[in-house]
Order: sequence, then structure tokens, then C-alpha cells
Amino acid sequence: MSTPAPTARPYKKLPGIGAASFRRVRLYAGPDHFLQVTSNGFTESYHRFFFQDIQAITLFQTIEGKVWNYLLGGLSGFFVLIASVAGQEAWLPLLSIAAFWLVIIAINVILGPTCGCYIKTAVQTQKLPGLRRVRRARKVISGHIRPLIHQAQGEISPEELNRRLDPAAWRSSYRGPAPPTVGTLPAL
Amino acid sequence: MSTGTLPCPNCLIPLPGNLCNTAGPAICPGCDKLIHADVFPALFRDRSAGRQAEEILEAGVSSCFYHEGKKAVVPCDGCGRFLCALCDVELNRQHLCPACVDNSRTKGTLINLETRRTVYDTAAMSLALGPVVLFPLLTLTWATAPAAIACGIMAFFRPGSLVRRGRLRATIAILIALAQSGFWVSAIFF
Repeated sequence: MSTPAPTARPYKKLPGIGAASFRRVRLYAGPDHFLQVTSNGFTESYHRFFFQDIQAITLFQTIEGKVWNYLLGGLSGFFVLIASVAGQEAWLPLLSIAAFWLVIIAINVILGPTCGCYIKTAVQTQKLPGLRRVRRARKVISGHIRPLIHQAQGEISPEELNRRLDPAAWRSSYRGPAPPTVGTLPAL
Repeated sequence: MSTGTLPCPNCLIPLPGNLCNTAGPAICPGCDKLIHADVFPALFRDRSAGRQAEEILEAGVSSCFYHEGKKAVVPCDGCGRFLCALCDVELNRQHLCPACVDNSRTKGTLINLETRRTVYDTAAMSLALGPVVLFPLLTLTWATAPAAIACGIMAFFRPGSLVRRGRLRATIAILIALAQSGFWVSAIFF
């Protein structure tokens, strides 16, 4: 029995690289799907998201970047503090270490706020670890991902979207702030 | 098309339509996080029912190779056997029978079915450079260098990564591993 011949698939690398538990994650655009490649240095595992099947891409801003800034800022401040009480010989190396952490903070600030980016299909919602910064994620989505999906699926008008995105589901599940209490219950 | 829901990725509360496909960021009503949501028509697509194979009701109609009583609708692109709608597996714009799909998966010829691949060129590079980068493990190069050479040679005979072409990485890894091996040989014998 003959088997079908393998077909060459040219993949275009998309910007953004992520890391998850010692694995490198990258996103590629193929002729009819996106390919997320997770590499651990010995094997590669593949996730395919076909343009026809992608239902939504969502991202939300996280505080990960700010947390790193605070941690590294504290570390830097710690070395400055030690340098201020240490002798003349230790002053320069300790300040150099503090300056190194400050440079890392500056790079973190320049790269912008962090985010979590998710791609939703009918059968799964998968995180895209390669898109970890809001600015880059928006750029990749609007410049590379969205045009390819629109080409495969067409576009949806805002009116249609408002009508289709079930408002009843939102109303039933949204728990707003608790109503104000008018009095206090008497103690039993 | 039907209606659908899109949950916020952070708090999982369904998002209203006016917060999706906006030019700038929006605030989730559930968790007050800044969100961007791009919704596509596939969210509202009806799930199509699976196809059913038709019964043969008249003489002279080709039957499916696997189901004698069912009408053939397409030949398999792999083996040429006639297939009914039930046996027709459409993959990568090809119509295949289940046996060919299974065969292709075993042999690794249908790349759309591959979810994992050993990349020997990257493995060779990891083995060659890993102990050098992790400086305390430098002395392990006497063991990793031959392994890197073996992986580098394997890379020339096995399929590589789906997304990279060429064998430059394997060649460089072999050269680095040869240099490391040369160092150990000279250190031991000279």
C-alpha cells in the first residue's frame, strides 16, 4: 500500500518568544494554521491552530512585570544599603551589582506591561507563552494573526457581534458589587 | 450562525459584545483587568452534523472498499481504494482511507498528524554547548562530546524540525564536539 507523499510546509516565524518550565515556545504562521512549537533542546512538540477554527484571541494585562520590578528594586536597594555601610573597598563592586539590577528593571520598563494571551477554539483554550508583553502581543495580533484569520473566516460587524455574543449569559453570570447594607443586625 | 459566549481569560465571566473587537483596551466588568478581545465568526458557527454514508440502491454503482453496501464517493489519494462518506478522512486537502492515515502516522509522512519530533541537530547543539554554558559541568564534555557527534550525524539521516531547514546547526555542533574530544584526547595521551 502506498502512502501519500509528505508535503513541504513553509512556516514563517512570528515575533515573540516565551519560556515555560525550561522550554522555549515560539509561534509560526503556516499556510492554513498557526503552529506553536515548544522546544526543550531535544524534542519539539507542536500545537496547531487552524485559521478556520479560531474563535477568539484574548489577552489581559498582568502584574507580573510590576512584581519583578518591585523584587529587583528591593534587591538593588539592598545592595545600595550594604554599599553605604561597607568600607571603601567593597563600595564599587556592590554598587555595580545594584546598577546591574537597575538596568534589568529599566529593560523591563521599556518592554512595557506584561500580559497573558489566550487563543480559543471550539475544543480548547490555549495560552500563548510567546506573547507576554501587551505592546508586542497587540502588534502581532493586529499585524500577523488577525489578517490571516479574517482572510479565512471573513469579518464580523460590531452590530452582529453585539447581537450574537449572548448578553443573557453575561447578565446571569455577572455578580456586581454587593448592595449597600441599610442597617446592622442586632447581636444575638 | 448561533449565539456564543466568550469568557474573560482571567475571571471567566462572559464578556459583553461592546468590549470585544475594540481598537483600544477595555475593562472587564468582572475583574476590572485591562483586556483585549478579538472575536471571529467561528465563535458563532453552528456545529455541522457528521456525514452519513449512503446505501447502494441501484446496480452499477461503485461500493466502498470497507463497506460493501455503501456508496463510494471518493477514491483514496493514498491507495486509490473507493471510499464511502464514512471512511473518507479529509486531511491536508487530501482524501484518505483510515488504513492510509494509520500508515502515514506510523511512518511520519503526514506532518499534520505529528505532535512531537526529536530534533537531533538541536540535541547535538545542547549536548555540545550545555556543559560549556553551565560551567561547573564543563568536565562532563568527555561524555557529552561523543553523544553530540552521534546526534549530529543522526541529524543528517532523520527528519529535522518542522519549522527549520538546513543542517548548519548539526554541522556546527559536530565541529564543537570534535574540538572538545580533541582536547580530551590530547589531555589524556599527550
